[in-house]
Amino acid sequence: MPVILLCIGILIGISGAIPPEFLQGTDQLIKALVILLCFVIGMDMGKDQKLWDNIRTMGKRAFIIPVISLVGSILGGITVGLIADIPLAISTAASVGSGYYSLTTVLLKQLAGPEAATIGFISNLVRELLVMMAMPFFVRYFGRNGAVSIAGATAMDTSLPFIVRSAGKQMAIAAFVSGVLITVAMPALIPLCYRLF
Amino acid sequence: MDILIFMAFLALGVTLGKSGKLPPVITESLDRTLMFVIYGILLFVGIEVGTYREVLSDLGSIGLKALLLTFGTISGSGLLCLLILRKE
Repeated sequence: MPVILLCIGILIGISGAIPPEFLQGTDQLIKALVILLCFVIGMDMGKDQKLWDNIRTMGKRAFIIPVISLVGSILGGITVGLIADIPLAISTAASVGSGYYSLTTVLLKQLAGPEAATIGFISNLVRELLVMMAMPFFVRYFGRNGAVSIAGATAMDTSLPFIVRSAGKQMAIAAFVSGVLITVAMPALIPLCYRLF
Repeated sequence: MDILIFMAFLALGVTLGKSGKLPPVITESLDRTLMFVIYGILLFVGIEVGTYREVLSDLGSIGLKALLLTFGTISGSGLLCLLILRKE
């Protein structure tokens, strides 16, 4: 069902059947849905007393996971850059984007031109889509913390509900905080990686 | 700015949920509501992705490199976490 809906959406977008005035609103609409999502997840968490006993132990994790996530992504970017012959400046900058494809695309276009921007766009978009669709798989093989780490920046909004469903409510705070920290660091990290490597 | 709004609504939801004053009609339908919201997000993320038409139509070797990067970042962030925090 999730995959089908996503594909229908992509086809609608490509077909151009939707008037441009409405398309400018999709961003706002997604934002509104995410707000509703936070509200619903909040109520769900609030009524669960057992959850709050676990949250204190989760707190520390929320700050370790984003660091692991970013370092792991950069290491993956270096490895693939060397294998697939992509300049490390571009492969690491695109990798550290952590699924935040809009910002990564814009920054890479300014820093390195359209080809690098395309690499940044596709690699991060696919990461976001995979995180939404294959979350049960990631939880099973990388554990709950690993799944949040893989979700990167998307853990605070688009993939948050999928993490909650597959990894449990007790991961919601850690996922949200991890996603926020990665997102906030992003405008600095992408140019930093580009210049460093 | 968006993050602050998200956090505010999360906190509002938690407060309401904790207060125990929510009517059963709401607390019992939270799971289903969550599903609908998820489906809505998927549909609209799809529509937004579809509008990047030029990028989607011109892929080729760049696309392959990008997919390899996705594989690399997912494996890297997942495995490093597994290594440091163990599986939980």
